[in-house]
Amino acid sequence: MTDIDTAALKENFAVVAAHGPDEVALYFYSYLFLRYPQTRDMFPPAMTRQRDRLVGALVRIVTNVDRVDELVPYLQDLGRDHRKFGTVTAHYPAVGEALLATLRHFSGDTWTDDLAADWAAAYGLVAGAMSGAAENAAHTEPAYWEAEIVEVDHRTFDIAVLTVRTDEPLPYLAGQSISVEPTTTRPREWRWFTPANAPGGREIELHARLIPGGSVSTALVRASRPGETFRLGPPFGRMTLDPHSQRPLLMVAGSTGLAPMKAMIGQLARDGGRPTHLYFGARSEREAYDQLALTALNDRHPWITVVTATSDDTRWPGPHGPIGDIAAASGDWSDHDVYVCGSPAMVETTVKQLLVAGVPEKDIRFEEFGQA
Amino acid sequence: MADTTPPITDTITGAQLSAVTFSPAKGLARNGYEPRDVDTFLRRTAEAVDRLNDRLTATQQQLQNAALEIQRLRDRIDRDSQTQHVQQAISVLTTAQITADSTVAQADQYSARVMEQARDVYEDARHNAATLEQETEDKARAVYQDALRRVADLEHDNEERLTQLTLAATIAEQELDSQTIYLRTLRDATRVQIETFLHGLLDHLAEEYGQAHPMAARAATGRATATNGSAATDTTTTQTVNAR
Repeated sequence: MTDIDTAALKENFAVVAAHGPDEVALYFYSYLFLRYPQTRDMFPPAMTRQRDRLVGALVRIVTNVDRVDELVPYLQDLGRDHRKFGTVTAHYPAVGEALLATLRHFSGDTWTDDLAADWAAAYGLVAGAMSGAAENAAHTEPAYWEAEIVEVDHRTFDIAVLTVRTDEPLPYLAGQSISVEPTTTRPREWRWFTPANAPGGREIELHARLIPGGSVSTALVRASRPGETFRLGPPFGRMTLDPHSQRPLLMVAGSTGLAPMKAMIGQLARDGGRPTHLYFGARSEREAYDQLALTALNDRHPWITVVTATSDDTRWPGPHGPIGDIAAASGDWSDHDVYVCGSPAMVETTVKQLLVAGVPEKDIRFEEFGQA
Repeated sequence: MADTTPPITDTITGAQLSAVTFSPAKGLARNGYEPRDVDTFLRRTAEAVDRLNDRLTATQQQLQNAALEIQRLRDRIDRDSQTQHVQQAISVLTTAQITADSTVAQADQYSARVMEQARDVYEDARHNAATLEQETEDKARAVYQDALRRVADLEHDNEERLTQLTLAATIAEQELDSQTIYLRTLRDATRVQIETFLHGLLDHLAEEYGQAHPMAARAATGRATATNGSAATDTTTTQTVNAR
């Protein structure tokens, strides 16, 4: 972005954002829907989450506006992912117009023709990167995959294991995540889920935990029935196996964070297996929802050691306490490839403890997902 | 003009032109078409082309007007996006969206609350059940341990008793042994005394009757038997003794 005065853009964005991020996003979408009513159908009825997403993306773009190497891969992923919403190249100018109108509205007297030109040029680059990636992706993959629910297995009242079958294979890597839209019950609401089986077939195992008030998790856990269809977005995520590594592995999973670990273990089994310690933590025996599968893995593969701990169950015969504490204290993991997945709080504390225990930061992989 | 010549209307197509046929020329010149047919066709074609051209021009003009109108509207919208009406519309839309969002948020909050309550009730019930189970188990364990303790006590008592009994038995046995030894000693001593007495008696007898006639010795033996209360009394020997 050599010809663009990025400092001026950042300064102007700060002025605009000072009106309140939600205000700005509200104006943006109202303008967009007023001028291009047909775009309204691409969004869910409730827009709160959507506004957060927009603001998050704008902040990320403006913050990294000088760092093309950071920004371009992000925009390419964003463009590729936006195909599932039905976004096509023709939509980009409409969004650009709404963005400029919004910026101008909140800039007041500080708005200048130069700013308008710089924003237009910057948006042109952003839209170009996004739509270019989307057009490239269109040659190799569909905008989304249709998937039919084959089985809904309620393990507890708030955790379900779903098996879905896609219309054609979805080429994810073990450990990567896909976004899921319960098309009939929650149209245009997408959330990230991680397949719990290794890729290759058309069936995908999803582990869903009910979040109180969470519309998509409720739809998945409580309202899904075999035969219903979902849409699945393209795979994303960098928490995958290093195909060149021969090192042993440590996996630490909390609750449904088990899913990517199971997928990776499936992949490892296919590739011949590597010494793997899996530490799985649940609050209680009830929430240790996949013990049959874990016991089976432990019995089938001599290279796997599974340890299940509960944090809040005095009757549990195994170890007690936060799974990160237990894993970090159970061995020397400094020469392991380490994977951590669970709630944001669990991931944060576990990573900290592993760092303290001497695991190099570069060897710890975990996923940070925003909203789908 | 021959019947095969189609009427040329406003819209003239290549297919229509290709399909046109003319009557063969009449009279002496047998080559070519009937000139009147050709003239009529050309005139009509020219009229049609003129009309098409007019329409093309009009359409182009309309298109240009439309483009101008679009540009004018765009400019107006751009200008108007800051005007009262547009701002009002945006404001109305924004308010509607906020209302929708808060309605959905309320529903979500309600559902979250219900779910939290359900989970709490569930966890409580589970906790209570676990507590109850734990208490029952504790009680059972206490009873079991008490029983174990009693058994141990009993065993201990029994062992003590057994020890005492064993001790008593040992003592009794020892007493018995010492009595046995005493009695044996007594028996032996008595036997020695009796033997000594008998030997003394025999010695006396031997002294008295040692050199006697075998018959006398036999009689002496018989008499000795008689003194022991034997019923087999020989009158003759009795008499012999009495004679002494």
